[in-house]
Amino acid sequence: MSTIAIECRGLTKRYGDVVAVDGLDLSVRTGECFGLLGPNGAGKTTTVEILEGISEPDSGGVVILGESWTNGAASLRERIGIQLQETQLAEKLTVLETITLFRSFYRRGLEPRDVMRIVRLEEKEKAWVRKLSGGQKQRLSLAAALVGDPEILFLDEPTTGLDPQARRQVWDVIAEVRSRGGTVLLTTHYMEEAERLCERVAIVDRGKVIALDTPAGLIAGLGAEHVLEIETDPAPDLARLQGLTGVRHARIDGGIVSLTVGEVHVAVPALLDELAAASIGLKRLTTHHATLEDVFVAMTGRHLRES
Amino acid sequence: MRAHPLVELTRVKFLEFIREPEALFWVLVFPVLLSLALGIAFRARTPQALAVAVQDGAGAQAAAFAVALKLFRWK
Repeated sequence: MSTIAIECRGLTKRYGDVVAVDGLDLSVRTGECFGLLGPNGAGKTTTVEILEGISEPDSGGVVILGESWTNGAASLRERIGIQLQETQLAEKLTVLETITLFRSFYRRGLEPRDVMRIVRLEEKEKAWVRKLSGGQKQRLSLAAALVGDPEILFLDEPTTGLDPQARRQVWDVIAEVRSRGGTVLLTTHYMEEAERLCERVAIVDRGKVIALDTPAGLIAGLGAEHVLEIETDPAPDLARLQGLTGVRHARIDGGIVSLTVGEVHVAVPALLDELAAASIGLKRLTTHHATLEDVFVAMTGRHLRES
Repeated sequence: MRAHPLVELTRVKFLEFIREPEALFWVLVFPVLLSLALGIAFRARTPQALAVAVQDGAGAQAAAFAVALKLFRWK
């Protein structure tokens, strides 16, 4: 299917002097999992809030499922599910009571017990929200977003602050939603998350989309598949490393040299020879597959986790 | 089958309330204790005697008689 579920054009939002969103265009297809990736303060949450109809843009238009927030808000709210960055649910209600409450807000939707099964909280049915772990609370707020059987699910940093196992469980839930044919828009600053879940990813920086493609496409755009990181004493001559066979790009950041390379087995011997010839001591050498993080660094010169 | 959101919200607020022992104390137990305490502290006080005067003038006699009659009836 190639119909458009979410479309926005020229979105702008200012908070005083700060431009949070600066002319942002997006279109998300029905049935797709779309990721907004960017550092803290890039404008991801503001963008998502505008799309969710929670805040109004200063300029630009939003069309969700063929309707707009100005004249179709009430019916639109029945068709979308939202998980905010942080959700504070009533501490002394049980899991089932909370889901039942949220179910009552929608005219049509799923059975509370079915949703509990999707988010794997069946055993916690009678447990108070206060007694749940961080990951369980996150899955409960996901359940609250899912109980209206939404056509579009908005997830704002669904796994921030969760341990790796809890994160994996949230991923499983999102995968299950996807398998039911739902459209998912999620924001994240975790690379693995975007690579694993999303079919297309938009990299957002300072309120603008600076790149948009499949995760694999973005990585391929680097022109190289591997990243070599070395730490040396003294620092090497960057221009010479740039000229080595197999090296596409070299940059230095905080004493660590990153080389984007096509083939590790070609680049490493050349690099070692070069360092030996210049009598530079090698303190550390690591290599990894290029990730979206590397894409972000190559595009902005900054790391994702810096804001 | 889904309940009306208002019904569901009322139910939930009620559940939250009865699961809060402190709230139960302040709303149900404390007012009873307070009224008992105040009742004990201020019970069995006889009303003080009131001095009533009638200003002299035209019809003062009749007024004094009427007041006296009223006080007499109250006793």
